[in-house]
Amino acid sequence: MKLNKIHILLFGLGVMFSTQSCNKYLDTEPDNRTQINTVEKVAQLVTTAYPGRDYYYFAESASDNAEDKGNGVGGLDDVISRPYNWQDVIGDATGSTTSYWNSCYEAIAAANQALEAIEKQNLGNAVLPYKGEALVARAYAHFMLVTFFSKVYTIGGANDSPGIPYVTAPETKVIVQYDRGTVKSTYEKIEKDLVEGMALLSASAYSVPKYHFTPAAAHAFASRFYLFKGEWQKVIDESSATVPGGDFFNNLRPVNSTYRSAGTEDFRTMFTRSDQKSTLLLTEQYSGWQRQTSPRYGYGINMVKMFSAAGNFTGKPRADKILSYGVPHYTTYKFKEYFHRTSPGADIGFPYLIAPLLTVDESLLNRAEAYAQLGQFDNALRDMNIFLSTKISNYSASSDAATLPKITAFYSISDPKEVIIKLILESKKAEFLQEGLRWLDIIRHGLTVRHNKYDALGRETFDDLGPTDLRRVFQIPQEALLSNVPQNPR
Amino acid sequence: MLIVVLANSCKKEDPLNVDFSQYNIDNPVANTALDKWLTTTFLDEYNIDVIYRYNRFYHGDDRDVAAVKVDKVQAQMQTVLEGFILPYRKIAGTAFIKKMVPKQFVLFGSGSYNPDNSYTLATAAAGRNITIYAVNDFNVNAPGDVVGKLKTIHHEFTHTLNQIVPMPDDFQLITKSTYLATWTTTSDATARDNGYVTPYASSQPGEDFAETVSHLLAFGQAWFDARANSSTAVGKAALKAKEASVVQYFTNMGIDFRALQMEVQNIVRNQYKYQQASFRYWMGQNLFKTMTINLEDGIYAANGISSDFATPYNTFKAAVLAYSSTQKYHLDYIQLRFESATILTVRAAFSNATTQYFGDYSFNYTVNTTSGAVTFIKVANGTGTTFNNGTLFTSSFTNTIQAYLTGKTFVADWLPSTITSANYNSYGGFYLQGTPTNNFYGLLGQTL
Repeated sequence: MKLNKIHILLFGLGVMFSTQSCNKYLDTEPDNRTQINTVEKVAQLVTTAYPGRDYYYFAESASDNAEDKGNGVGGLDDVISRPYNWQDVIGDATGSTTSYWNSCYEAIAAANQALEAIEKQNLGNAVLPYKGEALVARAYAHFMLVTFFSKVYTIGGANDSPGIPYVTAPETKVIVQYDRGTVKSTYEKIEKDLVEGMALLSASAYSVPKYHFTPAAAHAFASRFYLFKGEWQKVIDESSATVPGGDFFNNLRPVNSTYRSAGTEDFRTMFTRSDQKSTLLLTEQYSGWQRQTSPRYGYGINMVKMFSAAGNFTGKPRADKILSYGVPHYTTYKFKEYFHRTSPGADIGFPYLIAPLLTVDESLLNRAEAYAQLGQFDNALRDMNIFLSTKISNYSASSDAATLPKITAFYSISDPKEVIIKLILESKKAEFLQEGLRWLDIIRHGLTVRHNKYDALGRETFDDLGPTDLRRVFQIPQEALLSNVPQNPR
Repeated sequence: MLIVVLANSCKKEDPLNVDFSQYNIDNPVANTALDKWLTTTFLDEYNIDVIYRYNRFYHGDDRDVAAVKVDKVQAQMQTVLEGFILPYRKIAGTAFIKKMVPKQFVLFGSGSYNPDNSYTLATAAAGRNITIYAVNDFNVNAPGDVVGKLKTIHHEFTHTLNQIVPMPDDFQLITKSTYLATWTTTSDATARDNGYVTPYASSQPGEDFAETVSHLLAFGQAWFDARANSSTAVGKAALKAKEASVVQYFTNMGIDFRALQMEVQNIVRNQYKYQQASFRYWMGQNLFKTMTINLEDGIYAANGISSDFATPYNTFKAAVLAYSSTQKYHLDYIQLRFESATILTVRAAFSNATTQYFGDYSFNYTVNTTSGAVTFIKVANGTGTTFNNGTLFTSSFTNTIQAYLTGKTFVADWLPSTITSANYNSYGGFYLQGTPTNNFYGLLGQTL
């Protein structure tokens, strides 16, 4: 990048300088910044086009995956307590909505920078997989933003409520003004990037593919996207494409086999490792979520029941690891911290976790739901049985398979579509506990979230977050007001 | 931390009607006899501060915990002293216990109630503190209570040790796949079959280790073996592997675990008279299937054997030898084989130069698990090769061993009393009721 603007400016001001000398001086880069001028550099840049912060804190805490464990029980932390009470998180602390917002736009900025370089430099066909990755990554970050910070997409609705700024060019000014557009326009741009990007992806372009949008990962993202849009056949097609040969059984999280028989530390090491078949997209995120061992609001004594024999229709418990940091502070123990030391001689550095953002498990559940929406109940139940056969302790295909009568009796819901979807959502809730995905189902299905609250005298009351509650949309950071991005109504 | 499950009971209580004007709300008296005893026994000797006066700080403000009744303090701390500190002091050494013993004991009256239908019995913190809850239900006259409390203390002190010397990695892997924090919903049978001493042990490896140690020490080896025997094959192997790991952990610290176990068990058996630590109890449970007596074994030279038994044994041995001048059978041992809770086979193992043979004789027996009274009754022999072998020596057996065993009332007990720690868990015997000097004992086995 040449600094022509500065040159012109100086020329206008400086009658004492000759243009010649000025040119020579400005022909040299004032710093040793990288020029994105090779395929390798583009590839490396796109590696940073993923959100470097997590949505776990606020998505989990605001959802029905959290409960008040009691007055004086556990620790209080604003980034958990405020979402639990459906209050806006103030500041940009680790785990805040603002930090996630910023990390998404940082990812988008990296994607845009890469796309601009691809456009300006003639890098040939070899760069196309990374162009595809940048486009899909840009679509993903915007999709997660519109999911958390705008009203949920209404299938068949006008979707004219404000979306989020869809940024497609690198910022060259300190403060750029943006328009939120609408949810509809945001979705259109996401879909455009997604479709265009997916066509260019390659599975073999990476040394560690799980940290990139491979075709399988992009299919998983598309499956999630079309589930929100209600395009059921596309959900089925995209989900099916996440595994080779349609073999979901061998690509799901082996909860009742490998994970169950592993020791707890082995399990934690294994869970976010890149060799896990179910994991389709991993990102390292600066986070303290794995350190939140004993929050007052979180995975407690009522939540843990979802794993028990009474928690599902088979009458057998799920085989998940259940650990506690002293009852009632339970943990799924999914996240092993990667501590990046900034000094080899001292115990200081940055805590990271490795986040499995997209999985085969989610895709299969998405497909089951799409089948149910299309009235293909047999297909939906078949998918659920594949899923449950890897989760339930001592699963027996003959006695534990989901059938309509069994789940109807268990959930006391007579409508077949409704009861199958209930089973899917409950299964997803348990599978992805402490991974933030429950919130997506809550807004997508308009589920009411009920939170208990203990007062200082130990009396328990309940608050509901209904489907139309404005607090279901997380608040946009105040800093965004500078760019003319209005706050969400409260 | 040690936690128990609450029984699901609905106890009706009378409405509270308390006239507070009748109560001194708080009138602490300094330097009572109790304080002096605590000072000289614990503070001066071990630098242990025993805190029994109520202080909310020690249990945290998220719990409601009752204060300890003052008259329970000494009994509880006496148990700490004699069942925990002194055995460690004797076996591990004065320097060890003075250094390692937690410097602060805090006592509370009630349990500390958890939200998962359980309450905490005790906690250990930072290698320096043990807090004991539910001291108010301590009944010094109920051996089960006393031993239960003792188990809690050993459990917590194991945590203390672990906080200073980490527990072995291999222990944590033995049943690594079945730990679940939701242990209150795990049945005792499930825990047992998965290789745990209690459901609580199945909550996580640290608790498992502490439970394994405390049960081995306070409930004894027989209890542990019975637990392992009633488990599955996999569960039994796991329990025995855990026992070996525990023993190794203590060995690495320079402590003879078997000697420590004997020291604690001597208190439990002889001072607390805990029924479930008695030999008669485990005879009644049919835990021990065999008792093998070979008077040529060095154990009898070391601990002696009463002539009332040695004479018929040696007479029988001579008769076996005299039976055949060519075979020259040697009596290797006499074995009492407790086939069931009532059926006993007495086996004489004899051998020539090359082969060992068994000669069997059928008996019935009775055990009174309360008094320990045991009787042996000769019944008609069973059939088969071993019984045929037995007929070779019928007359001498009838006049010696059978004559000694029958027509008397014996008492089952851990014998000999002079046993060393190496053999502490593996010898038991019977003495003639009213005449303890007339006795015999043998090596115990748990399989037929």
